[in-house]
Amino acid sequence: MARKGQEEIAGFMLIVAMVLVIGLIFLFFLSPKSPERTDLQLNNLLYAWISTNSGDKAVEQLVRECELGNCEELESAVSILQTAIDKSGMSNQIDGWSINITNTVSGQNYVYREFGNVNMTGNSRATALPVSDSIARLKVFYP
Amino acid sequence: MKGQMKIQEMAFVLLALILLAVIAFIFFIRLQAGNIERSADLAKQQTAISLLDKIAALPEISCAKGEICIDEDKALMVERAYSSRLENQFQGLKNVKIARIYPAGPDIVLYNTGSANQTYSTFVSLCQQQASDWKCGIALLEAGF
Repeated sequence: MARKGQEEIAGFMLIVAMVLVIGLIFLFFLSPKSPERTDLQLNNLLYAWISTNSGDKAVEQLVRECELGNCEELESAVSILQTAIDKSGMSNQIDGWSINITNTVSGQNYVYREFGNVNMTGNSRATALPVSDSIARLKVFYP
Repeated sequence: MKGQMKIQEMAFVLLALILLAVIAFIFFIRLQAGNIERSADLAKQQTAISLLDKIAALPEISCAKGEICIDEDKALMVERAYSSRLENQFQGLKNVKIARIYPAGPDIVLYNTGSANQTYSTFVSLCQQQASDWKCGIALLEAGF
């Protein structure tokens, strides 16, 4: 009789332990991911890039030209952003980044460029700035 | 006697359960500690960047064009002659400089009282007023603490 009781208790403890372990695994893997956060640094970078002159024209002006059908110069101005990210040492801290300029009225995607590994499921931060009828969105993926 | 045994067994079971719960709690806390440290670092960094934004907005160096914009001519003037007058604004800082990124060029040192233990930086627009417009580049505003 006592042996049966002991077995029952051991079984009960085993079940409780299993439930606890499964609960912890559930908490660890299925805890909600924090929403994509914005970042002051990124915001400043995007603002600085939009204001920067590529040749005689500011990137802001190139976005306006792109809205009128000439997107070549805007495409090449992305290299300035790449230079800023590389030279500032930011590229050593991130896995990848992407820049996206979309017309908010028509939904047309003017520029979409990706650098490095942007298919990460880990941390990412983003910022967006309105420029004329478009919106520029910079997203950075952290390890 | 039999009743005592049962109470003893129950006490052991409860003790084991409490131990298990404590172990689980410690495990969970250790998992969360990493996240808290990361969040603290991020908060510290964001505070430093806010301070840098305030420096960039100082009337002595900011341009009338817009926010997070430094007037290159004003900054050069501060570098040459005006730096000591900004000591109050730079209290708590070891040094403040503008490092040009695009186009490349020499750094502009706004304030320097020695080497810093930790340096924070943020991107700014470095602009120069032309005849009718502004010509801007990208720079890093760095502050050493």
